[in-house]
Amino acid sequence: MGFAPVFKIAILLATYIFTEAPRYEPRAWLEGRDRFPEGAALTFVSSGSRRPVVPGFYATADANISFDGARVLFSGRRTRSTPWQIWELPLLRGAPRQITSGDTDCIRPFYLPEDRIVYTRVEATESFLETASLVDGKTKRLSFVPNRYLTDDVLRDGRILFEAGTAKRELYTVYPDGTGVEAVRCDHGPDRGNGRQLSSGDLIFDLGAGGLARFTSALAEQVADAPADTPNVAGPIAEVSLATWIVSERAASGYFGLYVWDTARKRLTPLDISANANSVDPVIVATRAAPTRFPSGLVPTRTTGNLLCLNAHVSRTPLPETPLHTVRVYTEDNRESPQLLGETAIEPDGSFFIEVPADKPIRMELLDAAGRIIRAQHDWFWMRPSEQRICVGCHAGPEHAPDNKVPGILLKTTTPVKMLEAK
Amino acid sequence: MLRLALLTVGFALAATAQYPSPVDLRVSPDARRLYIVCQGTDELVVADTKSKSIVGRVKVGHVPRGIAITNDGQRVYVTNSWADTVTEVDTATLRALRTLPAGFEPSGAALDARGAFLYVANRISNDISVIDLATGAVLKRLVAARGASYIVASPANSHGFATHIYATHIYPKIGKHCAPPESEIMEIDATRQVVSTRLPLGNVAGVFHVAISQDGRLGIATMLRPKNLVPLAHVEHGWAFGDSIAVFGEDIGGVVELPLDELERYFSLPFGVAIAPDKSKAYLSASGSNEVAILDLNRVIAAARSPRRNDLINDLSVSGTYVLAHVPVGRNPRGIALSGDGRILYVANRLDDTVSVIDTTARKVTGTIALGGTEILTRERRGERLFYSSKYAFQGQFGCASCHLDSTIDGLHWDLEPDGFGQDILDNRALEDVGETPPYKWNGSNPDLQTECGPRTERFFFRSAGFAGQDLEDLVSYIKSIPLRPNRYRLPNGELTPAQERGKAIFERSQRKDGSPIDDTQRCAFCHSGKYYTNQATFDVGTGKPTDRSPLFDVPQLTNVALTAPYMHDGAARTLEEIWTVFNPKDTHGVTNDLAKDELNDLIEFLKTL
Repeated sequence: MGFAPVFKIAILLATYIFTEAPRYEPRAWLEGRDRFPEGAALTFVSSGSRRPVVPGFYATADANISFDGARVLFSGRRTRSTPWQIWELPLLRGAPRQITSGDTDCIRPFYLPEDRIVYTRVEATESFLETASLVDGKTKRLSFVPNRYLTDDVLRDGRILFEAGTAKRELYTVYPDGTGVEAVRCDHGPDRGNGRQLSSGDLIFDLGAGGLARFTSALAEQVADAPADTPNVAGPIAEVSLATWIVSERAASGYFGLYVWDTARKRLTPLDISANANSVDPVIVATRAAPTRFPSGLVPTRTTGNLLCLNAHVSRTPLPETPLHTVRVYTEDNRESPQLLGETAIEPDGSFFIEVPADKPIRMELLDAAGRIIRAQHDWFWMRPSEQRICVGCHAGPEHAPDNKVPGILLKTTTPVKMLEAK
Repeated sequence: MLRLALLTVGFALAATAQYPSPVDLRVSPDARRLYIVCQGTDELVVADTKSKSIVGRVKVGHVPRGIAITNDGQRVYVTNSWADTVTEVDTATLRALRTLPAGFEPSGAALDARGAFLYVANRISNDISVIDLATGAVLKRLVAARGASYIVASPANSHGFATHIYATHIYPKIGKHCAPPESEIMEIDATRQVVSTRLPLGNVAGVFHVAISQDGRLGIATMLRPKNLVPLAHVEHGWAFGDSIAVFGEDIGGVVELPLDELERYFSLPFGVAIAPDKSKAYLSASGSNEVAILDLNRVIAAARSPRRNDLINDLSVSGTYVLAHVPVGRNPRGIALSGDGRILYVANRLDDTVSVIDTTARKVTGTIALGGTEILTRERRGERLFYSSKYAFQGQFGCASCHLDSTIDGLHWDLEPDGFGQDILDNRALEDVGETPPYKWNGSNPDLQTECGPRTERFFFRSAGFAGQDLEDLVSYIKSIPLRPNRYRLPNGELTPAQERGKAIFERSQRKDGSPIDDTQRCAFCHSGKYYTNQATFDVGTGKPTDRSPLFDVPQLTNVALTAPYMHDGAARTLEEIWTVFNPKDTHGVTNDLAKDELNDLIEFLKTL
């Protein structure tokens, strides 16, 4: 597709790919709409020259470079009438190879170790995370709570970073087999999205209110990153080096352009700005270390998972003095009203142990002895078949390591309370 | 033919390879020399700090581990952990002057300020030898906690005396089953040479080096806080270990435990510690994650005095307030030492055979001292590096050596998730002679070490890509090569004492005391047979619990069994005697109920010789 002239101002000694689009609606995915409703084109930039990455497609976006730097994974529509699908293309020479198929859109792909990829499949009423094999194309669904999802990155430790929400975005991680889903920070914080992991290990993301922020390993709270005078800087960013990133910033024309961000001097320099198109989602073309392989221990033939809570009283936000007495567990189907799976007593030390259906939305409420709801979970989560999961508390936060003591419930029984059927 | 030749070369290399393996070091008072204890070559290596070159090597005893230097720098004392001795070295001539006696497996050493008495922590005899250096005789032994290992003297007071000696221990006390492990820092009154107090460390198993500030008001010990009582369902969020320090002394007003880990980064297996002369910084080595942390001590003290002081230990967002920097160093960093002015930090990288030189102002490595040794790595040495590395566990939280401290045990039982929460609680087994005693795991389900250390370990322990291919073979080679610690209970001539003889007769007996026959399967020597005292089969000996999925357990080897408490598959027996007096009411674990206390003592005396 042909866009208007591009103004290249900064000289950057990096090869990168970005997405060029006449119309870009970064939050459209929250409503299941297309982020690039008028098409988009991946553009390859090297040594000052530029070329389309995939000529002949109606739309291409969401580039992700293979670990050996030789291939690019992308979402693409061959024609205007076909849905977004995931494709792979050798960067030097070769034809694009379609990885996914179906009538629904597949977007935002990322390479996983062991010749697998992860991406977002978008359906009319919801979206979900899915993995596919690059060898045989077999897919596996990872998310099981009706919601809107968007894959953001694959972290060096092997986990998948994604955002989810319908109005406000929040960042989550999940292992490549769908286990261990949790918020990056259990803080019900501000609108956050477009997360990427930096070489330092920090997670950088954009804020709905504008600007960038990051999570570091050392702190539980987010740290502001972009200065206040560049509120329109938005992710995802591309890290050229520790000192230099490429970022998208909304220019005076109203379109997003690419800028070089000097992290030390906190200065933006224009790089690729078009008068009538958006330039977004830069990706550096280079080799990189593959994330750590995650060895799944799941037994797919099972239909339930076990959840142990060590102490429901432990929470980031203080609970009332009233002792917790009961935990009530719900599921839901097809966005109908919650269905009660059951309830069980909470031990005096705050522990409980339950068995819940796998691959279903799960939510819990904590009640006192009078039956009053003391704390209700905001969001739903899921467990995978045979997943064994333990929480420090309810809303304890990832910074809270467990106490070393045998939970009271395990001194009574090592058999979980079954909560498998809706009442 | 080529393959055979390479194999032959490999065997020859394994037999002759020597790696210095530095474990501890001291800077001379004039800062010109560095004395490095090299465990692998039985040497004290002397380096010139200016040229960073080796200027001397002194042969000491077998497997040296600890070091102390006199205030005038004229004498260095090196503990020889497998020879149960201390070598006194004249630093002017670099000659060994005397060999002094110590307890079983002497480890850390500290001198009082006058250089008159040497205090030595003995890991196996669990005591502190007080050696009179004038006579060379052991004046007394002070009872220490299990695995006494590291020791430090407080700085001299105005009268020139060290007021106190502090000692730590690497194995937790033998406590109640399924109760949190307990450890301590032992404080010795150096004037009266008596134990003055024992500072309790709650929920701690594995205390390593300890340092005291020059004003004597602040102490820091590195330590592990295991999470062995919580099912190991996952690793993230500090689920397996809390890498920590204990801070104590007048500056603190008690003992406070503080974390070193972050939310997604772990300071795995903290080991060495040094405090800057001006008490502004502390330096810690992490022997699993191969780095040195620099701590702001004002912030450490502030945290330890804060109203939340007792709630901080499980908060992974706290260390960011006092850890200033992490400096990468070589593999398996152990002991560290500061120059007198605090500007240079030396780090003994055991599995790189080097010493890192860190400029504490620039906070970076400015030089490396190579200690020599075989340059080509044998597969056993490559495997040893893997064993001590924490990089394979999720987010680098722990490694094999976090549970198998110095390739031994941790004295703990663990709740491992694949068996179900709260089910099949398992004692951590010793590795000596394990290579020859398949199958593995307490239920005997793993036929070889490759299965035990490969897929099982990565899936249920590391929760991240573990050992595979050549790495796995190297690791197994190392485990099979772990040298056997010398048995301290056998007579030098190979004969048994009368008590040991009586115990052997009980072990091998086929009749009860009343003359009635003992069924073969109820004789000790039936299951515990062969070279390693295991018939390598699984049996129901009546020790299973309702929470065990099967009553069948693998017969463990008995090599150095006296050192590996607690006992039985779940670690419920705190002593060898409890195996028979508490957990064998029906004689299903061998016939023992007709034996008197003295006879059980004899049986124990014999087991100690295995």
